[in-house]
Amino acid sequence: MKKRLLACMLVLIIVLSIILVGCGNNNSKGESSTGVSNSKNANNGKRELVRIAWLGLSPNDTVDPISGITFKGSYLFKELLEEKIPEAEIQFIEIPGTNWIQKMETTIKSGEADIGWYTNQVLAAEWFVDHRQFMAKDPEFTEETFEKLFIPVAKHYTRYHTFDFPDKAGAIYGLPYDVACYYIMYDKKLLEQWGVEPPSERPTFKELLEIASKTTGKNPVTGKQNYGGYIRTYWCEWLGVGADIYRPLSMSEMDISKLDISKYVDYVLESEEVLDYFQFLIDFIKYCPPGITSDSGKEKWLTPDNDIAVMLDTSATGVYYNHYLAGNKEVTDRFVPIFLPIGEQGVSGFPEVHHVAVTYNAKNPDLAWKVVKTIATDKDVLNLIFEHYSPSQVPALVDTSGLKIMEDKFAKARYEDRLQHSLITDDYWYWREPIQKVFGDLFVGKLTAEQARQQWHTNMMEWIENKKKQLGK
Amino acid sequence: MSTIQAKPTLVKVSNIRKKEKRMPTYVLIYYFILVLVAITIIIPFIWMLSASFDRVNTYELPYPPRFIPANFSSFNYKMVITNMQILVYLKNTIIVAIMSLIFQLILTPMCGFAFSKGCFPGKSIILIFILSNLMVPFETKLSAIYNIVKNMGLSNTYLGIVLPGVMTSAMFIFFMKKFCDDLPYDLYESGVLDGASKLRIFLQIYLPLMGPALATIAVLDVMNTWNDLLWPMIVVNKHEMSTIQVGLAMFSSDASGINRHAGMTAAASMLSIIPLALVFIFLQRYIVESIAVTGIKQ
Amino acid sequence: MSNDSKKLIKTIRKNWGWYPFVLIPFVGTVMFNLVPLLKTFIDAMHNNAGTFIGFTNYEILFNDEEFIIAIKNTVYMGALGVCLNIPFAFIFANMLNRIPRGKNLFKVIFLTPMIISIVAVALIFKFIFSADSAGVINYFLSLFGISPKGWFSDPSMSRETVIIMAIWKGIGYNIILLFAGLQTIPSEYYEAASIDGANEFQKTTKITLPCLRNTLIFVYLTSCISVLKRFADVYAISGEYGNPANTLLTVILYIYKKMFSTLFFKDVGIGSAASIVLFFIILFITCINYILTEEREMSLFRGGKRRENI
Repeated sequence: MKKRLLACMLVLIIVLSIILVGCGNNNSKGESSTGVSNSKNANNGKRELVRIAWLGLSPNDTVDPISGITFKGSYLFKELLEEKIPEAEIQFIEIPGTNWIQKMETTIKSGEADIGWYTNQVLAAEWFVDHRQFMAKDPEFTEETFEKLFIPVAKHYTRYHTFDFPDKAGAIYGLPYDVACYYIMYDKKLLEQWGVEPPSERPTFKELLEIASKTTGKNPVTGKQNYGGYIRTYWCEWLGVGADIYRPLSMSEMDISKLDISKYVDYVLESEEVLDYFQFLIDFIKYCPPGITSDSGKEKWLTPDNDIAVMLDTSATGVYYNHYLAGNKEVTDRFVPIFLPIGEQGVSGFPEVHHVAVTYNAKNPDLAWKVVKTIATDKDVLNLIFEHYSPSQVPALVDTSGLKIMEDKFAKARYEDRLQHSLITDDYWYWREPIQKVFGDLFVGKLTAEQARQQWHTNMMEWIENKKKQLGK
Repeated sequence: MSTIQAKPTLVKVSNIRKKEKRMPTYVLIYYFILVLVAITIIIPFIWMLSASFDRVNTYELPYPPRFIPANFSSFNYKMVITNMQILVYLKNTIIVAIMSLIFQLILTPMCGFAFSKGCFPGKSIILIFILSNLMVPFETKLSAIYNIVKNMGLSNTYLGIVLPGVMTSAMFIFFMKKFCDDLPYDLYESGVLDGASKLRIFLQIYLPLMGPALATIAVLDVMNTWNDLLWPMIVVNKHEMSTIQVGLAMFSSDASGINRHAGMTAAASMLSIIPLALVFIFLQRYIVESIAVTGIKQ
Repeated sequence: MSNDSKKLIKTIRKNWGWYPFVLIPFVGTVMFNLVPLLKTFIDAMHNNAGTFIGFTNYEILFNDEEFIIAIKNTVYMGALGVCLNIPFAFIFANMLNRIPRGKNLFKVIFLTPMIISIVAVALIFKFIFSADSAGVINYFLSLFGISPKGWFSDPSMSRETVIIMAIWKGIGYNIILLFAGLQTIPSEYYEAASIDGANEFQKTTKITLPCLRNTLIFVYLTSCISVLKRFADVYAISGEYGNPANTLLTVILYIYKKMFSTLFFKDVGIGSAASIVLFFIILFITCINYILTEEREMSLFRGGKRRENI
């Protein structure tokens, strides 16, 4: 009897689940939009669907817990784009921040997106189509227009340069719409307590090291343990840009067998700057909390109990921007952002540019190209993006009139910085991966500065050899 | 057609226990150790609970963590409900968990029984073949599996989330096989003698005996479905169909630094754990406990 | 030859009724495992641009120090994890089985770590095992006069600390599995042993362990497989780098770096080659484990006769 009952229950549950599956199918299949705002789709039937895969958008409004600012959902973006382009119906595909590459790749490769989003570290040639074909046909936006519209760093990292695809060098995959600008910070209050002069607006490495050395130990006012600085392995190669340790590469053909080893690789063994930078790292680490090798010790940054004087970890300084937007005096009065150091070459930081591009299997490439153009060049759209979706980035356009974000002094200063001090190089992987491998050992004290640069040189040679083997050269 | 009458006699141990008046010392020692371990396990949980009720003016958790919130408020929970459609995520996750559970409870005992008591050519090979599911890391299979699921038309559906896991559930099949190995073969022989089909033998004799194993994989499967982040994120494109982990991931990402608020994440985790705890407590009632299987001689 | 194949067909015909039982998992494995595996194998023979390069990727892979380090780390952490996890799980499951009341409560408590997200767990453990002298464990040690240790930040002990975290999080899983096996042991055996005057230790070694053999073997085999796929805990602690000094780099973290990371050069060919190598490593270790445990298991193969000589 009991078994019969159980069997009946089982059958019932199976039937229920089949019904639910059916319901699940109906809700989600079909190409209708997320249903938040349908008012503008009066002529739904005439609009053609354009699907955009964009990172980190939410369909609903979100409220930032600290600042209380409401950031609108993607429906506003959709409405604006549809207003600008009457023949398109926009649909956003939500890509979460974690595991975004997997999600973007499966979305694009299975033909579910017409427009994709990427930064400059991705094999764009596999996901997108060369936009020069659009520019050849479009009288309003030719390749010349492209060259004139965008700032040098944005232009340069939109043109494809990589050793893996030498035949695609110079191809344009998408259009840039914003640029990231990183900064470092110091704690004013802590420096005052120690009686140390704050650094200049664009300090040198020597200045930073000096301040760090003078603020480590027991705080004279509070008696707590203080650390002069904090640094993290994951960005040291970009910090080093300002130390002149790289030779910007300029190769029109991207043929790795023609890479001039003596000019671009061997200099490492003799360069003073390289040695100085590794030495700076080794010295600076002594003033950092013991947990830096596993990225812990900075939990109190931006709180009243902060114990770190100079913060060189750009992932920690990024959060400051939310407090800045909120006008949070507690934080903005005490923690001050400064620019990254620059050297003789006059460059600093990581050239990160965000793009939108038409995918290689887009259903209507010409319409998608129109949408991409609008996103990258239309000032109303850019204002919306900077207000709600990428508030901490700076524009990629040369002509920034009409962009509301430029009214903010901090943003304007960072835009100027990117305009004048961005690193321009045709490929950075041939030195980036090799030097990343060195930092791991450097941070635990296994290497001296001289050994570090020997190791870097060896790694670079190995990287280049492997790449040659892979390319069959 | 005679029904199979191999009912094992069941004796409730608790009846025997009532006769003992004092608890033997070893039981007391066991309790002591278990309580210690339980405290070690519960402490971080309590920390997270306190952090979720703590309102701090920073994006990180209150550091150092404290048991009693310094600033008790339900602010984090309010933020979670405003920013996330947490009820929708919970509903989706519950539906996916139930579906997965039903499929697993039907498929895995059958398969385990076949590998344990069955005799057919290629048995070992098929077993190792199915076991090879565990040997390939899921990340590498990702886009290939997604292509297949998409071509079946199952992207963005509950069935799409559940199907790959259910059809390649090597761990549970293997567990069922091992469990079934412990059950006597005589029952099967007597069933064959009575002229029953394999399916009937399975349903009427072996399945009732597999109670503990079924309950075990029920618990483990619900937990796996709950915790699964990568696959649902790939299969599901729409917020309305996201499961709870995917929803949480959207709000603790680095790229959109705006939303990465640790207090909110803690509150969301707490909210997602409650239904899971309820499911566990509910399932516990169906776990066969303290039933000793005595002599299965006819 | 045809005699053998005729015999085979005859056996298949006779036993065809078993095949539907295993049909769905078999089909599932072909679709969701074999096909992707073949695709990965093919990817490993091409470079990023899609041209065929044969086994060059494997050559580069085995010359890469990082990969060798990754394998060593994975195997070391795997062995350590299995050796600590299973005995503890057995001890706790056994205790759980023997107490008269409160089993459900303890079971729920043991399962709690598994439902907390790994990121939160990493946060908590980084606090407890903070390398600062004010960290919880370091403070504790200072009371005994031991100097503060680096824990996660010290390359010589980061792996062991990760194992502690992994055991904390994952022990509930094995406890539940072993507990299920323990429930099939008739308590009459323990009663009879008490009457015969056996103490607890003897009961455990002479009754519990032998009866639990199958389940223990299962837990051992599956634990070996899953520790070789260690990724989530090292990723939560050290991000994509595997620091300090590559000590936390496991094979799957290496694959992740090569295939899905924004910080590293995306090289699908090498990532696929590493996946294939990992597959063979796991297959090899599983086969060894299976052979080691299979011979005793043979006697219980056809549905064990219960031991009657207690």
